[in-house]
Amino acid sequence: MGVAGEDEQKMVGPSPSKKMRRADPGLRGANGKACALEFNILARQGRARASVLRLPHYDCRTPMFMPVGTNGSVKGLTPQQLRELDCHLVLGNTYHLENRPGADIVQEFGGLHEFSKWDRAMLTDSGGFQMVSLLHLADITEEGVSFQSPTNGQSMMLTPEHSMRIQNKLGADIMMALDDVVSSVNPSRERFEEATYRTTRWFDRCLSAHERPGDQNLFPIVQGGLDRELRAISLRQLMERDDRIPGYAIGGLAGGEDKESFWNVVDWCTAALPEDKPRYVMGIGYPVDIVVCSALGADMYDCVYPTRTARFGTALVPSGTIRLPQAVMEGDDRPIDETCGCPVCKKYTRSMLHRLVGTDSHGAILVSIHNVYYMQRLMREIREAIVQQKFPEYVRRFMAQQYPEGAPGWVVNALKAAEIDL
Amino acid sequence: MAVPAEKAVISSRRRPQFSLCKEDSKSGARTGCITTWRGATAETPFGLVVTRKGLPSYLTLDNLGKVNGVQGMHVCASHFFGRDALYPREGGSLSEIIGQEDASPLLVLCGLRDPACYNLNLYPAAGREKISVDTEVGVKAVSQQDYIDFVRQAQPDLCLSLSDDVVGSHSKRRRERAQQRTAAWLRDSVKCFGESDGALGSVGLIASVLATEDGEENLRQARSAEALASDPSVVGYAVMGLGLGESEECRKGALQSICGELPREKLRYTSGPNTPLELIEAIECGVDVLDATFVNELTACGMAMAFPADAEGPAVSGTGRGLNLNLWSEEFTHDQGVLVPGCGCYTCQNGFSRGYIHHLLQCRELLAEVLLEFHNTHHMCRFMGTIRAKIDEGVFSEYAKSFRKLYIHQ
Ligand SMILES: [Zn+2]
Ligand SMILES: [Zn+2]
Repeated sequence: MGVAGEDEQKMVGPSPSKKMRRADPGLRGANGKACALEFNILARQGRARASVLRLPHYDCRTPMFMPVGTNGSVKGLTPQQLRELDCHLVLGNTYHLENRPGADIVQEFGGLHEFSKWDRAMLTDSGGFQMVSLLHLADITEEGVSFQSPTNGQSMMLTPEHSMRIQNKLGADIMMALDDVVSSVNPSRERFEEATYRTTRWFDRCLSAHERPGDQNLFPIVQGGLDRELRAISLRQLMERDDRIPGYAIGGLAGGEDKESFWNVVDWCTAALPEDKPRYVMGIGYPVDIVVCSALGADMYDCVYPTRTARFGTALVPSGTIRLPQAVMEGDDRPIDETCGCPVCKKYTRSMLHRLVGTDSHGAILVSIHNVYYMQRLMREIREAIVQQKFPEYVRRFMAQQYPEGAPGWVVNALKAAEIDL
Repeated sequence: MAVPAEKAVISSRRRPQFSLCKEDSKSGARTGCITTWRGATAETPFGLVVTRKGLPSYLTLDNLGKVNGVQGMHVCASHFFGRDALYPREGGSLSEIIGQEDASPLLVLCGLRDPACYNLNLYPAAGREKISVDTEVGVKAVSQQDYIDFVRQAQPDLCLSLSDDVVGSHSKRRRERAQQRTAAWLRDSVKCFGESDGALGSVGLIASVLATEDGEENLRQARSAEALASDPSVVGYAVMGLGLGESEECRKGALQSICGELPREKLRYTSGPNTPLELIEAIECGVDVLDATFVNELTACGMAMAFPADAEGPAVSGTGRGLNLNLWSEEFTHDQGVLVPGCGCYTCQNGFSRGYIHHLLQCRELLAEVLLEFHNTHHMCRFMGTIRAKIDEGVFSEYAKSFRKLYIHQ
């Protein structure tokens, strides 16, 4: 496969060997405090930035898309294939990994990197979001998230301390603080207000419980729903702790909110957050959303969408998506995307893939390869456009392909806020 | 005078050649080599990777390329059924459709019977001239003409002539008819290949002989097929009708008697050894090419081959874990070891542990099967390499004996 590595050209100094880094008592952040990352902005254009995020296991390039490897693997792809597809960081789900095989076992194997043989960067979530979204019986109190164990029905509790303990055992480069997740359908402002303050209190508990600050980074999550005032409170409270924060996440989005609110929240947060720290918008994976958020100054994204959708035969293309199971794909001897350089598009016709998806695992793997490649290529193009100071042109070209009839109002408004006229 | 480029290409295409290297003095086993005009070469005996729709179950072709010793694939024509015809809908040859690299092609052998999942004559009412085939788009009746048309388009390196395999206990009359039909289809195939317009000129015909429980009849069929050996399109022979639940003696008897009648210098194929032991037995009878369906079967149920595949054989067997590891087993939860220590496959070389694969299986993650298919395919190829070396060294019988002892003992 092989992807021309911009990383080779744009290294920030010689990279120490893996062993050296693990023994390293911790990199020094911009403020001189011990933390486990370095963030160097290579280029800016408007509010967008292209950076190197140096983590204990890899020098990631941002803006970056992180594929989700829920159980410690990404949809049948080997670590080698993921590297060849230019993935810099893979996300693991704490809730799933604690259920199976259990963080103690992962630790026995030497942590998640060793367990899954992934040598580049990793990020684990707090486990809270999965609990609230997967378990109807989850109940949130000041102490933590209480829930019934899906395996034995016992009443259990995920506290900030517990989440840290699990994530310290998993050993990812970046850990997420447990936040108070409010269902997006919850209409109560009171509940959002409570969640905003509680998220800060829980972050303080996470900070005190975190046992490996030298080689794992803990990101807090900005909450506050769609309310500007609450978001401002959350931002202010967290930024008061900035000297202990290596990077920030923006949470509470991707929950079915309207697009105008979505970009507004990202806009408020990226405008307020410190320049010199990475910004991670959680759960975002639609290409249009990623381009908009990057224009607004965000750096990191994750979503199950590209790999989950591949299983059902949906392939990402510059104009949106195509559905390979559709009857019209039969006899179509074009690749998924004529402009794509991925190994699947070089080899297979839509017709061949049409016969494979849905019935054969091989088909799901092939479409995953294409979709992961598509996302990583998109990110590479965004980074290159910023470095070459051609980002507005790139965004205009991208949107013209996605929306030949003209972009929707929210995209136009969001990009205007990002100083880009469509 | 210069030959027009197009003509030159066609004339450079010729049928695959088989050359015999060494014959074992104490058994029918032999080594040899197949070469094709495309540049594919295969040392025999070897096991074919059994595919679905032309592709391995879980390994993408770049991953298959990482497995040392893979030499060829079995591609089942019935996986390429259109709504109403047996036809590669994508147009083009099988190699193009499945995305084979021109630089290092694998040998492609094509047949109508699916070695992984029995698919012929399950519905009897196909008529005198046709055979009923179970496909993804329903039951289809296929004629000799349909099949030859498919082969013409698909351009495999080797193709089996149609055989009327029937499963279960049938009347003597049905068995006789099956042999007659198989023989008739073979005669017709030879004719088609003979008067070929060039489209079949680079495909090697493997003449199918249908084995039954009737030893006398097997001999008669083998002799009449043998008479076709002088035809240049016939590159080899296939002993069909086996792997359908017959007894070990029946299987061995049929292979021995039929292979005994076939000309030495032609390639021999048989379908369906279900275990490494059956594979060794088929090779002892003189078979050169086999389907390695047990690789797919073991992978699909979460097993890793761990029987000794090296020349040293028994020495590695000290694991005390038997011939295959069942990675579903709880005993592997904490196991940080690789599937088989010292194994050179992608999975073992990169340190993927039994514990991790056990975890992936439990989570229904596809990577479990991918990692197992890497290992099992590699293990099968390594085993075949050992068998070839033992034949070349002239000690195959001794090896087969000790392997059998070890295998049955465990
Ligand atoms: Zn592609
Ligand atoms: Zn192995």
